[in-house]
Parts: sequence; C-alpha cells; structure tokens
Amino acid sequence: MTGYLPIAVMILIGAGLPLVAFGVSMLLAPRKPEPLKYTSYECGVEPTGGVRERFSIRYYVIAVLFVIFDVETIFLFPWAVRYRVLGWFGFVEMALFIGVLVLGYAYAWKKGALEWA
Amino acid sequence: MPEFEIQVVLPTLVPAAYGLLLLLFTPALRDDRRWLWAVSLGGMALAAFFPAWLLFRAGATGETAGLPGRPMVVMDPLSLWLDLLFAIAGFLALLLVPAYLDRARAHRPEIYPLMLLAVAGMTILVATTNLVMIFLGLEVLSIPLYVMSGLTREREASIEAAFKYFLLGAVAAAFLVYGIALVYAATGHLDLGDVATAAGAVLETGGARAGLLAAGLAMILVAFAFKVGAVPFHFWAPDVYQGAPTPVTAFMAVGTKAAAFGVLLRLLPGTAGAAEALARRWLPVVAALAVATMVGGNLVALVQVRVKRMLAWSSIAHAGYLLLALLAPLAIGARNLLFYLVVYTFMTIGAFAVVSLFQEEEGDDADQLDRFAGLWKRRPLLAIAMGIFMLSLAGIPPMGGFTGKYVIFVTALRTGHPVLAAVMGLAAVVGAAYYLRVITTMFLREPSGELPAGVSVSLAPGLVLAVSAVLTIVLGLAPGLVLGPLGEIASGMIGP
Amino acid sequence: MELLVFSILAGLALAGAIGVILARNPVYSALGLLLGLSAVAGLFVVLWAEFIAVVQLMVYAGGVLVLFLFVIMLVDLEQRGLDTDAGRIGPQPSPGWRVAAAMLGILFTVFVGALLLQEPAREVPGAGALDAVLRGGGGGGALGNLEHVGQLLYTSYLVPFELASVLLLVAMIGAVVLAHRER
Repeated sequence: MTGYLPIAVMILIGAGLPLVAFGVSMLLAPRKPEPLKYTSYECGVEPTGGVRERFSIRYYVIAVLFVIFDVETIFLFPWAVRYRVLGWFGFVEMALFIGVLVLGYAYAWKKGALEWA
Repeated sequence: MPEFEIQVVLPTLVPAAYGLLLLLFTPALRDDRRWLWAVSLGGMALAAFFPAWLLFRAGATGETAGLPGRPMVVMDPLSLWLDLLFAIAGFLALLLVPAYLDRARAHRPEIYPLMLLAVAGMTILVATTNLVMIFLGLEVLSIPLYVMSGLTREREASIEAAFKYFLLGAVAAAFLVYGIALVYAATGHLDLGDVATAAGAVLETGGARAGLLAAGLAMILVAFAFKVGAVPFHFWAPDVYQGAPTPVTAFMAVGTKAAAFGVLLRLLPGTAGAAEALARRWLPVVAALAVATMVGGNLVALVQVRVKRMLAWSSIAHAGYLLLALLAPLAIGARNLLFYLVVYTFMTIGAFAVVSLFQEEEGDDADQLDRFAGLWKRRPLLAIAMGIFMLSLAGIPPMGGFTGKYVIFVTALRTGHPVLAAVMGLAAVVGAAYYLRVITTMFLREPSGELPAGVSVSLAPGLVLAVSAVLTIVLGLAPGLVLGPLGEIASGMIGP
Repeated sequence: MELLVFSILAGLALAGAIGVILARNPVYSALGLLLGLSAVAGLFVVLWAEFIAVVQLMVYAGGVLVLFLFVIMLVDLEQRGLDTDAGRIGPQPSPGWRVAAAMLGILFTVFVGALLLQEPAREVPGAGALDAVLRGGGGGGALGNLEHVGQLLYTSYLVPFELASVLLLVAMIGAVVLAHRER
C-alpha cells in the first residue's frame, strides 16, 4: 500500500493549498465592505435572475448515455490486460458486448436523442 | 476456454436476440406498428417454442458456463416450464397491446422489444443457481417493466406507476445485493449449491457467521417479497398495477410473480435441503408472510370500487396462496406452486384483458365497477368470459382456480399446517365475496345511466379471452393433464 | 498504519453521508456524496481491491454524480421552494417516524457490523474464486488485481458479463423512451 503514498501526499497538498490560501487571506487581508465593491467590475454585465438556470430535459438523456458508456469503458480495462491470454474467444466476447451497446447507440441516434436543436 | 453449450441458453437467447434486433427497427418503423407487432409476436412464439421443444425431448437438462461444477446457467424441467409460461404470458399480453395503445394515443413501439427483453430477464432468473446471475436477471426483468409502466406518459397515473415501481424496485434490488453480500461474507460462496453446503457447517458452529447468513437470507427473501407483492412489502403494487398500461399490468402480474417464485423454489428449499436448521428458521417467516398477504390482500380488495385496482389487491392475495404452497415439502409444494402459477396466468391475463377492453372503449376510468353493470345484456359473451375468470380467481369449482387452491389447501392440511390452511380457507371465502360482486354486477344489475356504445372485441383480444377462458376451464376439469407432468418435475427436483 | 488510513477514510465517508442528508442545498448534498464515494474508493484500495476503487471513482464519482447534478439542475428548485428551508419534497414524516427509522437503521448497522467484526471475512473456510482475486492483488501473486478480474470475468463470469451489456442497453432504452421528447 506504500505505493499509494504519493497519491495520499498529492491529495493532502491539493486539499491543503486552497485551505492555506483562503485561510491566510482571511487572517491577513483587511476587510472594508462597501456596496461599490459588489458591483460588476469595469465593463462586466449586470447579472439578471438567479444562477440556477433550468436545464433542458434533453441533457438528461445525454448524461445517462454518458454513464452507460462510462461503464462500458470500465469493462475494457480488465479485458485489455488479459487480451493475449483470452485470444479470439475474448475478442468475440467483447465484440458481442460492444455490439449490443452499439445497437443501443444506433437506436438512440435514430430516435434523435442525440440531436441538440 | 470454457465449454459453452448453446442449447442451454436458448430459452434466454431467443427472446433477447429478437428483442435486440427488433429494437434496431423501432425508430425506422415507427409508422408501421402492425409490422413490428407481428414480428414481436413471432419472437414470443419462438421464445415459447424452444423451451417446449427442449422440454418434450428426453433428458431436458443441462448446464453451462462458469466454474467447473458451478454453472452460471442451468437448464432443467423447472426452468423450461417457467420459460414456457413467461413466453405464453408475454404472447397473450402482446396481443392486447396495439388496441390499448391506439386508444391511449401512445404509439411507443419500444414496448415490443422491451416485452421480449423482460421475458429474457425472467428466463435468466429461473435458470441459474448463481446469486450474481439472479441479481442480473432480476434487473434485466425489472427495468423493462419500469419503462413499460410509464409508457403512456400522457397519463399522470402511468408516470406515477413507473416512478413508484422504479423507486421501490431499486429498494428491493438494494436488499438483494446487500443480502447476497452478507451470504457471501458468511459462506464465501455465490453458487447456491456451495452456499447450501457451507450453510450446513456454518449453522452447526453457530455464532456470528450464522447470524450473518440468516440476515443475508432474510434480506434476499425481503427482496423477492417486494417483487411478488407480499404483505408488508406490497404497498407499491396497487398504484403500479392501476397506473401501468393494462396489458403491461397483466404481463407483470403474471410474469414477475412466476419468475420470483421460480427463484424462491431454488433458493429456499435448495438451501434448506442441505441444512434443516436453516429451514426451521425461514419457514416461520414465510408462514407469517403468507398469512399477512392472504388476509391483507383479500380484506383490502373487498372495498375496492375499481376493477383494475381490485385485481391488483387480488393479485397480492394470490401471492399469499403461492407462499403457502412454498411451505410444503418440495416434491409436493413445487408441484402445487407451479400448477397454481399456470392457472393464475390464464385467469389473471383474462381478467385484465376484459378491463383492457373496457378501457379501450371508454378511457382509463372505465374500470369502475358500476360500468360493468348489466354487461350480460350488452355483451353476453364478454360477461361470460369475465364470469369464468372471476369464478376461477374466487376458487369455485369447476374452474382451474379451484383445483389450484384445493391442492395447496389440502397439502397445507396434511403437512402439519392446519392453522395456515384454515387461514387460507377463510381468506378465500372473503375473497370470493368481491369476485362474486363483479359477477352479480354484470349479470343481475341493470345497465345504469347512459349506455355506452358497448364494448367491441376485435380479433386479437378476443383470442386472448377465448384461450384464457378455455384453459381456465380445462385446467379445472382435467387438472391431471398438467398436475401429472408437474408432479414429475417436482419429484425430480429433490436431488443434490 | 492500515487502521489509521481506514479510520480516516471511514470518517470521511461518514462525514460525506451525513452531509448528504443534512445539507439544505441539494448541490451541497451532491458534493457530500462525492466526498463519501471518493472515501469509499479509498477504502477499496485499503482492501486491495484496486480495480473496484478505480471503478468507484470513474463510474460513481465521475458518472453517476454528474447525473445527479444534472437532475438537480433539471428541476426548477427555486420555483418549487426546494432550496429554502420552507419546503422539501413531499409531506414530512412525523418526528416519531424519523426517530424510529433512525433507530432501526442504527440498530441494523450495529447488528451487521458487530457480526462482521467478530467474523473477519478472510477466515471463511474454502472461500471461492472471488476471494482469490482479492488476495491475488495483495499477496503478490503472479497476476495483479486487474489481471485476475479480467481472467475471471471473461471466462467463468462470461454470461453475467454479456448480460451486463443487455442490462445497460435496457437502461439506455428506458432513458430515451421516458425522457426523450418526440418532435
């Protein structure tokens, strides 16, 4: 598990840096709130409405498709490392697996689920 | 590389492959629905043909894939019978689909491939002894059903049904996975045969591992109790059955139940066969479930005013009878259970078909009991068909439903469960009341209010009604035709 | 050392889970979930199930969580007052129910946890092939974790593997059928 030490160190540094940066600025920086400071900077545009823009339901289908192909990708890794041993048998297996998903992809495509307009 | 016997997976492969290919054509053939329908009917017929063909050839057993001696897929008479039943249920439900969807103005041709894929899922579920496969089978069966429940998404009830079914189905799946994990933690195995062997040793030593095993099996049982709609895990069923398109309701009422009980047949007695101690633990639990389900389902069905919802509660009550059949020794219990499932398939699909016909004509609110008033005068044949289904569901001779209930009742009485048998008798009497109320409404009451144009029966739904009605009566008059072969299957199930 | 890492990760996972249910803003809930899922990925590493850890990060933290955020953005929260204290989804259960549910959850966790602690999984006699995979990664066998998974998944578990593709396909159809607007 010591192989993971660099990763742990990375995570610690990654989490620590912003904490330190914000902490230091909070401790050291002078605070004088003024209304003018909260206005848009220079030629920035005045914001209208909330930031919570409602997404179109169309994106949902795209997101689901993304997750599904994400899972498909996962299955490719163990297959790839054992490909030499599995040989043609493994090739056919994976071809079937991907074939089924491509079928679904073709369906979604033909159905127009991937169109943006 | 592992040996692979194609014929063992044929019952699954045929509907799955058919469903996949059909799916490819659905977007292109959106306007050619009759064609898609016909092809899916053909696929379903093939899905029925292969199990039947394998079944009636000698030595219809086999297993394939997986570790040596621990197959992923098994084929035996039990799985083939149930496969046949799924395909028949799917075929009959498909016959009802176009007319219903036309009326609902929901032309979603996806229902055809989804129905085939759901059948494929059911066939997986009953044709394996591996817990991983059981989970996958349950999901492949359930997800198409969630989607089909919400297919008529113009109706809020349909969306609600899909959403409820999905959420509670997800909870059930979580229970199943957690249960499988605990069983694995306790025994170190995923194959039911190994689990049973290990369970014997685990229970002998007792201690924490026995506790884990019990907790795991209990959670798996809960998952399937959800799926069959056993009280107190039934609360999704009425709304889902009510909201789903009626042909889908018919299909899932029958198919899901048959598949789930198929698994329970392998799971509970299979495990108990190797460990009597385990049997002693789960039998009281199943008995409690059975009592709650029989009593609860029948009592609530009594006060329903909509026929579709009444049938939903009645379907819960029937799950109770099936659970009771599960309590008997395997050789006789399995026979009773399978016979009841066969009868239940025809009488339930028939009854839902009548409801579907009413809704085709007059919209989804047409399943009010009052609408059935005087049906005898308007459509005598339809009234007779509905009468047959109601009598059978009530368990009145000479219908098939009577024979089914009778064998379960007598077996419970003889195998030392007189109290349970008495509860079943009482529950069935209460149940008879609401079925008979439908009959009196149809035959004795005058048609009330404005007389609708009358329900017309086109060829396909007519076929469903005719087949269901005839078979319901035949199974009542000559139960030996089916009970005999099923008895042989059941006695063949006691093995290693 | 192992215990220390485990404690930190388990603590983070718990903190994430508690954050999910306590946060008023659903986006914070989702971020709490991200913390929990990532910590669980770390726990998988501690268990030597490295492949599962990667899957956990890629699929759950990377995929499912994005889906969650999408759904949060799909729902018009402000309009329904869901991101304020005033309203949450559905009728509120009475405090009695909440306490009962919490008690039941804690009781069950303690029950299963106690059993598992008493009976570490590695003492299971005659453990199956899956166990060999987990050990293979840590025990420094000829094959690594990923190779073991590959070897098993594409030979013995071939049927479940192919079934997984059908399952994914069905989910895909479901999403398209239920969420796609026909024009």
